[in-house]
Amino acid sequence: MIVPLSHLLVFASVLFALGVICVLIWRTNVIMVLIGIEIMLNAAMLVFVAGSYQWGRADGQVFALMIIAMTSAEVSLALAMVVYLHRRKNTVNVDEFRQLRDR
Amino acid sequence: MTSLPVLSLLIVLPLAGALALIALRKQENVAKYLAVGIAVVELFIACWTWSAAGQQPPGALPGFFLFEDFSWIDSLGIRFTLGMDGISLLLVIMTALLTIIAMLVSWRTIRQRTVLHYILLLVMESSIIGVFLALDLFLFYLFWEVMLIPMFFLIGIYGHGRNIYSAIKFFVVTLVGSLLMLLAIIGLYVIHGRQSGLYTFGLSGLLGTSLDPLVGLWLYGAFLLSFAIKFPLVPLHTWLPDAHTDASTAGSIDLAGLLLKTGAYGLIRFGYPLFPEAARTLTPLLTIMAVAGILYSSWIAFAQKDMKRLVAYSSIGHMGFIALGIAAWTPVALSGSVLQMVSHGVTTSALFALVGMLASRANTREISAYGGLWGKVPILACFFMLFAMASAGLPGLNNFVGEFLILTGSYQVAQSATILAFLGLILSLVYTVRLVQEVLFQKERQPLPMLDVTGREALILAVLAIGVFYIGLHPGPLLDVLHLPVALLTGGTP
Amino acid sequence: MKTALALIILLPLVGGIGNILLGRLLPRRVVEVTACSVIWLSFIASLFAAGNYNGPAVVEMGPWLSSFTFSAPISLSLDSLSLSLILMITFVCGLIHLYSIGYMAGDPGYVRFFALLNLFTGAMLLLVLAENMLLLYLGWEGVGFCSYALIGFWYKEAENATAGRKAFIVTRIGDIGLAIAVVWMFKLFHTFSITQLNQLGPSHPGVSMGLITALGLLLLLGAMGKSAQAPLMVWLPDAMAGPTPVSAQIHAATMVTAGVYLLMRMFPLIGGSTVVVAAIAVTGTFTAFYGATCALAERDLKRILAYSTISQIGYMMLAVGCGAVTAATFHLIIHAFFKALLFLSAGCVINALHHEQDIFRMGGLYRKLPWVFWPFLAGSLCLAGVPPTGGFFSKESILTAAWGKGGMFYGGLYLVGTFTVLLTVIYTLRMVFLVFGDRVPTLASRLEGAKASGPSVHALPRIMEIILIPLALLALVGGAAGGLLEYFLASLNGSAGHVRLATEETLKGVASLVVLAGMVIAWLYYGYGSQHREVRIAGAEHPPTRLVAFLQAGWYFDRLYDWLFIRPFTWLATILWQRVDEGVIDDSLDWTAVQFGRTGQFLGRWGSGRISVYMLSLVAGATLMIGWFAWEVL
Repeated sequence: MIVPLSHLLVFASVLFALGVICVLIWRTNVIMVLIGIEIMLNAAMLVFVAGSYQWGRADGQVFALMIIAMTSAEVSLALAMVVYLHRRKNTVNVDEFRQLRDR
Repeated sequence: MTSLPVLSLLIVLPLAGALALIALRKQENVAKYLAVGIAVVELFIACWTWSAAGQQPPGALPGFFLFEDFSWIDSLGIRFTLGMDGISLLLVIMTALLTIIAMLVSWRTIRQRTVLHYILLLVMESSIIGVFLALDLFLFYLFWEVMLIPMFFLIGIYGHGRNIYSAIKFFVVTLVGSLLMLLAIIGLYVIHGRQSGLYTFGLSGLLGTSLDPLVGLWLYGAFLLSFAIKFPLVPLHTWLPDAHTDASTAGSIDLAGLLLKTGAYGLIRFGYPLFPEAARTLTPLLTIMAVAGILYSSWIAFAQKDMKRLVAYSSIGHMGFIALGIAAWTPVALSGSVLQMVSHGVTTSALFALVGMLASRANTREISAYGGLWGKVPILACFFMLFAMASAGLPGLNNFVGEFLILTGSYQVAQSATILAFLGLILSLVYTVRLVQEVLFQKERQPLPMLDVTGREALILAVLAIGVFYIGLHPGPLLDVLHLPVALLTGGTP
Repeated sequence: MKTALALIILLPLVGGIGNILLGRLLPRRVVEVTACSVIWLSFIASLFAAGNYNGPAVVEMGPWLSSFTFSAPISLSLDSLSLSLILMITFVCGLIHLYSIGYMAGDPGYVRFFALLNLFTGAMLLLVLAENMLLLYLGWEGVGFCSYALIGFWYKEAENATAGRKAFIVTRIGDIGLAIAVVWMFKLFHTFSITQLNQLGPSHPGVSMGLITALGLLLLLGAMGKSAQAPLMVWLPDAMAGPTPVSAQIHAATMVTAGVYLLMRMFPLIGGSTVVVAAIAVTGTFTAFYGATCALAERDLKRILAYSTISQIGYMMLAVGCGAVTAATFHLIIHAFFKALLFLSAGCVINALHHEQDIFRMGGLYRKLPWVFWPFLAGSLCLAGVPPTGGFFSKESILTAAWGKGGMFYGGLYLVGTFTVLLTVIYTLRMVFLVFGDRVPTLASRLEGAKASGPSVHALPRIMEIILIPLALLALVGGAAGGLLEYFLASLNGSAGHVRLATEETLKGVASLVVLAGMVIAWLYYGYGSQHREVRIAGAEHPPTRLVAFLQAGWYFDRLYDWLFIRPFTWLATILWQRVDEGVIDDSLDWTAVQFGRTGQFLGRWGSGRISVYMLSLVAGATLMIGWFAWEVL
């Protein structure tokens, strides 16, 4: 293996951290939160792939494909909801949507 | 008799009855009669167990003449162990009797969710009898907690005034105490298990566990707190007046007649035998709380404007005497305490029933609304006078016997505290004659709609009156049956 | 003997209970006849017991209370003391029951009245015959309850009910003294039996004279409550609110003497303590003096008699304090006769005058009620201690006993006692003169005309007047019984000093002179034709002088107690309830609950519904956990 596992893990961690930071910093913006989640998922996917390569087992790659499929579904659904929410309140600020809280 | 699991039957029968009542919830009248029928059968069974007194079944602790032991949750050392000795016997009979009284008292006054009311009373009976019979600490704790639930609903659903507030207050305050007791039970279980390698919740196993004095003090303190809240001892008593004021008559009877007794019973059955050292250390505390309770609550009772609240405070005072007798822990005082539990159940229930009867006629419990009932409803007034005097400790009536035994026994060990308790007798007379005067004597202050007793009410009061005279004049059989267990508990010669 | 004793107590009790249960269904005559006949049957049983009496006997009827060492069976003891008392009680109560038929003729509450009167008699007999302290206490409280219910018999008037309540509570204070003494004796002697207690006495191991003194003082407290002795005497004058037969039976003849009886009963035990004996004597003397002074100024006929009862019981206490149990018993029995007589005649007077009780509004009844006048006069002479009535001998024997004890202390008591005799004569004759004496019409009333003839009188039921005769005879000739009683009760006497015959005669002479002086003074002040009489009757319309007001208010003891006890008690009761119980204890509970609620609400604000907050919290939490994990691992 050209790239050692540890490098990959560090890279995935950084990627994950970037995702987290993205979510935290733009936490009121739905779209930025979704982007952050995508980045974190990609980080996780990278670890799966790296793990699968390291131990020569296909499970990780299967999971990566699963995640790709799931993400695409999730993103399409989420963006549709964003459009819907935007239409209702004319904003993409998540904090505006708190009807589920009882008070 | 030994072949029949009669103790389990005592617990299961009311529960089965409650289930049957659920099925019959559409036919109110049938359900009511069925409920009373079951309670009467229960009373007969309870009385029948008296015939076994004096036996010594195998495996039982000494003094227990009926004993049942089934395996239940063996992996934790929990068994379904029931036993009956003289103390349990009297309390179980009283429970069965007062349940019938509570049912009859609310025969007409409960008009909504009638069947549920009887179901709750039956569940209550079952759980309280369970408390009086359980010899396994886990089982005891189970019944101890279960009995809160029907009581909670009896106050919350069938009460009036601030009933929700009072119900929650009752539930939370008593639960705080019992949770600490649960911790102590588990602590004792673990300590005993570590020492002997035998993990058990059975009373017979846990007796004689040697404890570090400080640990024993903490564990006993948790037990005592739980029992003292149930008693209730001053200053842990404030849930009681509220609960009584807002509960229905049947609820009050169950509360004062039965529920409070579990605290005293727990202290006698578990508190002192399990932690003799710690109990001795904390005896002054118990004595002080008892005497303070007698004086303080009797004093406060004098100022009450609501009849039911007055009876509630008087009830705290009488429970103080019971606590004093337990604190003394001499044979005479302890017999007196158990007898006083029964007496107090009879007298206080009768007073609550009377207040309920008056309130259902006049629609008020304000003492200042009444007056001159002596001429208006002579039979009711006669009963009122009788039970009021019994409550004030007139000799020849029931409360005197218990109180005098307690005071005599307690005087041997705690002279000054007992003299203070004697002063409580003056205070109890003061508030009693005030109540009697304002309700029965003087001129009628408002024209109240008053009818004399109905047949059902006369039956209730007459049964309780017989109890008052029986215990007052011929307590021999009751004291005899208490002799052996009390002697064993206090370590004297039987 | 066993049956007779059981019947003596059971008959009245059964009569009372029967009347409570069935009285309302039966015709009036049946109730009355039952009530009276049970008492007279009880009297016959007492006579039978007296006939078969040969020495003290203890009879055990059955078990009552028994638990471990605690044992109080239903056992009765008959000795000379209790025998003479049950004869007196059944006889006097029987007469009073008969009298009540007439007195209660127009009252609808007769069932309750007779039932309680019967129960009272039963309880009183139980008290006297009880062999152990607990049974005695049963009777003791039983009579207290009946007294309470009967004082407030006309319950519709708040004052009557309050008087009953006062009597019950004040006597209960004394009762607690007795109760503490009972349990203390049990602690020391391990028995409740009176016979055994008296036998064991101070010589019992572990019992010192100090303990005996404490016991004696506690018993004295009990006696003070029941027998209306200072400082617990305030209830008796108010107790006159009850029907007059009740005052006669309970508050003159029987119950109020129970305290004296208790001290006599326990005298072998407590008599050894000089402190106790002196305390009893001082209490008695002071109370005798107090009662007499109050009676001097009182205007209500029944209250005068009540104060005189207080005073006379004081004499009995003095006798007990001097160790002269025989003299005390003698005076007790004679007093029961003449005081019952006085009360019953007073009841006739009050009934005849349409419930007028102020002696200053009476007068001239000598002509209108001759059948009441002569018995009343007999009773009064006996109360005043005019020789040779029974009262003279019984009081004289007490004073002789006090003199015989010798010393400054008892000498002082003798002087006060003798002075009180003087007061007694004055207030008694004042009463007689004002109630029965003719009114000399004053100028003013002569102008008004009609008033001069005195108040109008209505006829009395015959039975009420007939009853007075046997009592009057007994009061007059009762003195003759003294010697008999002396012989009969000889065994009971404590360390009474022996008095030489010559001294005794001298003392008798002194007493006679004192009585004579009192009669003269009373005559001068209130007798016919004297000017003072008119002045006094006229003066009664004006507000009293300070001294008279002081005496009429019973030395302001009521007001003192009101300030010292009743007001602080009621005030503190409300304070304790509203400030302490609901204020401090309950509010702190509620406060805790509210604080829990507040904290919950505060923490609940975290769940704001803002997703951004949740995300931040999630990340922070995860970071913390992972960080802690990493810390542990590295």
